[in-house]
Amino acid sequence: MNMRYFGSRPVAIKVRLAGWYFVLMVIAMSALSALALAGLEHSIRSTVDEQLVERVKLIQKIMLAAPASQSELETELRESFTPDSREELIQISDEQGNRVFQSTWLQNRTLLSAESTAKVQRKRYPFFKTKIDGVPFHGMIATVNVGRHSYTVRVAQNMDDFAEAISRFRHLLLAVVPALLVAASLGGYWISRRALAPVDEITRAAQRISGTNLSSRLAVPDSGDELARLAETLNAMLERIDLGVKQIAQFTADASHELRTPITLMRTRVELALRRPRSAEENQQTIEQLYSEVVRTSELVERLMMLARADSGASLMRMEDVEIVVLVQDVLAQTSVLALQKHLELKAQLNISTLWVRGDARYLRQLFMILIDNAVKYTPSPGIITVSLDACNGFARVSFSDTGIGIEDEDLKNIFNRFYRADKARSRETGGAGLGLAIGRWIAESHHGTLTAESKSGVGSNFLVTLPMENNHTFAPALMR
Amino acid sequence: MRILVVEDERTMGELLKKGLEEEQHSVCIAVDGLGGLDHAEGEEFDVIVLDVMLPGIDGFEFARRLRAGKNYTPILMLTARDDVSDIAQGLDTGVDDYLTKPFSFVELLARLRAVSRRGNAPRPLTLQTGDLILDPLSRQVSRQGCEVHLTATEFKLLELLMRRAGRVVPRDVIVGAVWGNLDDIEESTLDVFISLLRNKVDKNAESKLIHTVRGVGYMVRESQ
Repeated sequence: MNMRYFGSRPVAIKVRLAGWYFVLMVIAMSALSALALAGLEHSIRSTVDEQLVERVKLIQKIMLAAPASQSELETELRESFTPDSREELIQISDEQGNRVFQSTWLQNRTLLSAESTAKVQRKRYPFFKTKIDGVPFHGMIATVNVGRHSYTVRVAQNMDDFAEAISRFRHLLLAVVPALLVAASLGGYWISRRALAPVDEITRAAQRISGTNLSSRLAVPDSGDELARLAETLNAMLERIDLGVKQIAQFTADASHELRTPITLMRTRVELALRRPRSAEENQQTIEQLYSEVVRTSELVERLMMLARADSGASLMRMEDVEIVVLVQDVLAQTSVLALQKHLELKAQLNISTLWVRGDARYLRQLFMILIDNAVKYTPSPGIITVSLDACNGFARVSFSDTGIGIEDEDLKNIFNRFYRADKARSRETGGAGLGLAIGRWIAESHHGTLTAESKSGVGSNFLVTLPMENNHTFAPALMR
Repeated sequence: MRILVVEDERTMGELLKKGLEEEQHSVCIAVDGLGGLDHAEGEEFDVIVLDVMLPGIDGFEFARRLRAGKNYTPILMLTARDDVSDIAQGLDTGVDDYLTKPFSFVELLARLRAVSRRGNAPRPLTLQTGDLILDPLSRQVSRQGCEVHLTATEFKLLELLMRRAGRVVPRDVIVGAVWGNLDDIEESTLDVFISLLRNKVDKNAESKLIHTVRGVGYMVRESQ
């Protein structure tokens, strides 16, 4: 089970942070206390050690300078030290173990047994600890040679006061450390709560933003930190979602409007035809009108579905090597009858014999059809439509120019937008829903190419398709088709 | 009936004309908003069939301008958008009824009969007594062109009186309509609110519009 969970309830980050903080503080404070105690003890002992060494040195000095007589030495030592003291003890004995000089308090007490003395003398540092009548002492043993005689000097320092100090320090730590821990933990909780408060704020704001209310944004804290970045990132994401949803809503609204219009027409036409008996001639006419309306509506549905699929982002193209000179000739042959009906001249300037691009022939054919269809629609008779093809900088360029009515500058910016009609009334009659150029541009861009327009109102328009050329094509089956 | 059809799609317009004429109506067609407005203002129609999406001025603007010119010919709006906000906008600009495309021709005929029964009697979008104007949509009140700020209760009270302008509204009717039939409303409460309302509406004006009818109730009326 995940440690973040107690039972099934997740624990808030701020509590977890405070918990970790508490654990770290316990470890840090315990270590600090232990170090402080050890350091204090060490410092006391080394001070005492130094004093002991000094004392031994002094004794040695006195003994070496000592007069031969025992009593004179004793007097000398008595003057230098206070033998009645119970704090600083001295005991000097000769080779036979006879006590030559000692503190008064040691008269009937032993500072250190001969056995222990021997043990200490073998050690590298001749210091020892002992207890006399329950009182702790820290001592040192040294050997002083005076003439032929060798004396054992033992000095010791009463450690009672120091032990008392250490014990008091330990009690202090025991009282202060837990209090500090509690204060630090509360502080830690407060800090993590404060640091995470913007997260709660962002969460609440994000909860308020629903699918129908995508226009509102999160407040970005002006701290410039990670949380500000998080809020900014979320806002940017919301922006994209909002835009996408709006585009979908707009497309749906436009598409349903475009579909409702012809369907209304057909429904009313049928209803009227059925309201009373009609002559066969009248019915024939109604059916013919309905037929052309149905054809136009199904074309519209086809285009809408193509745009919807394009929006879904799924790749619809089956890319292969396509020879577009043949393709353009094919489209021209197919559309020449349209031009002929309107008494327009359809000219081809194919300056190149073969030109290969990578693409989907069905979609490219549709792109060219859309452009010729538009040229025919918007060119009055007598007029000329010229389709030319050449290659330039690795791009195949197919241009469609006409001597038609042209496009106003302000419309030129919008003609590639969906459902845009430069002139609503006329376009409706020519049957367009303003989708052809939007689809055309989508096809060109899906081939990593472009579709652009230039126009002069009253003079004519020129649409240019560029498609990246395929230089090292293999003779794929596409040629055979 | 004499019907004006404002429809930019010629095919649809012609079809409607044919269908309506077969029902013994006389039909005039306009293909854009401004042309339609010329017809509507220049001639007398019993009902107007209005498409919302029009070149030039759209259907909402058409209705707004027509009503602003105090022409109350009933309008039936045809819309291809069933967005509630569109419908609300249409109705609030003075349209009388609407149909969403595609519609049934039978229903169109029935609705045309229904809205034509309203006749061209004035149906202003705002209530007006003298120079006091109350807009139920924006909930704004103005006197002599200056905005008057009213609390919710004061607004309710004034709207009630203005909808019955020229008639005395009995005290119990006012209390029932404004506060509901609560038992704990004291007799004097109404008088307190009337005096608050008078302070805001009548105090700085030359003529008084809120009148007390002793023993009966109150009335809003232009002073003769």
